[in-house]
Amino acid sequence: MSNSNPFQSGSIPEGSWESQPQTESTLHDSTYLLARTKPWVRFIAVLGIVMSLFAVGSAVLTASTFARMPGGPPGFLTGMMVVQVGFMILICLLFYFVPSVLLWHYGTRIADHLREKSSTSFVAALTAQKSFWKYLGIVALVVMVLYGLMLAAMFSFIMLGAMR
Amino acid sequence: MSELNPYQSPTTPVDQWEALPGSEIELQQAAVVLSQTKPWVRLLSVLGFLMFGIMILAFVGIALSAVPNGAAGPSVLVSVLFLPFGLIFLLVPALLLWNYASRIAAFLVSQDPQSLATAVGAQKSFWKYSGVVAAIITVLYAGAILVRLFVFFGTGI
Repeated sequence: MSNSNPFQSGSIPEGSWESQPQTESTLHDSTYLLARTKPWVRFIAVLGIVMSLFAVGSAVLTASTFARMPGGPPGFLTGMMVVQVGFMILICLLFYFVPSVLLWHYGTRIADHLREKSSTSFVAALTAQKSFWKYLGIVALVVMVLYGLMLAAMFSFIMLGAMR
Repeated sequence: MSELNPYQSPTTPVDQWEALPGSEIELQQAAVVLSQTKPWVRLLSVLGFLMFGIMILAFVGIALSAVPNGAAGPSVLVSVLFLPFGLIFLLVPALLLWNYASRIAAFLVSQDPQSLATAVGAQKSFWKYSGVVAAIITVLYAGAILVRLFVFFGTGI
């Protein structure tokens, strides 16, 4: 059973009405700021994708050039060279390509929000941005751990050498 | 004169009533997403400060180690030349990220809708700065490649 009083005149809670335009104006301001963010995000994303593809292409080209040099290893890419080029491609993917794609995704979500102008699309844009920062943060943590392990290994070798 | 019809039964604009709690919920969703974004932004900002500090310490260490050899002058010169790179690529982005994380924190504490726009504005500043720096570097690279091509075709070297 509803608690509404059928004899009461239709009233609108004033506080609620005041809060609605405030919310809408906040999304309007944020939408305007996101619209100004989009070109920079797109620009950096395109630059990152182009640079990563360029880096991968140049790594493969350099390796294949070395492989075709007289006295070089037979075949297109062999042995250690495959490992080196594979490592280069992996680094490019992890540090440039994936963040750039995530940035592109953020730019696309901003574009969706500018078209739809809904709160849901606004949250979707913020979520895309969160994914980018989370990815960068995880990569930074992994790199820090790897650096730490490398330093620990170096100190271990130095200590072992000093003990001998 | 008001356009209200006194004979019409009281009605509530249904879509507006539905939109009101929805907007508030989605504002809260934005707060949840930004609260998940903040630690990562703060981490990257702190890492930026840390890297800048390590760079300064390395420069000071190199300069001090060069003093006994009498080569402190060139070491200090190299440090001074590299300092702008540290400022441009580490310190300023770290400051902008720190500012963004602080704005998110302010929004989460106050739950003031206007502070959401301030936080979004802070991340815009970071991207604008990054974009301008990237554009300048791209132009410098393109210029360097053009100069190299002119030298190559002009002198054959």
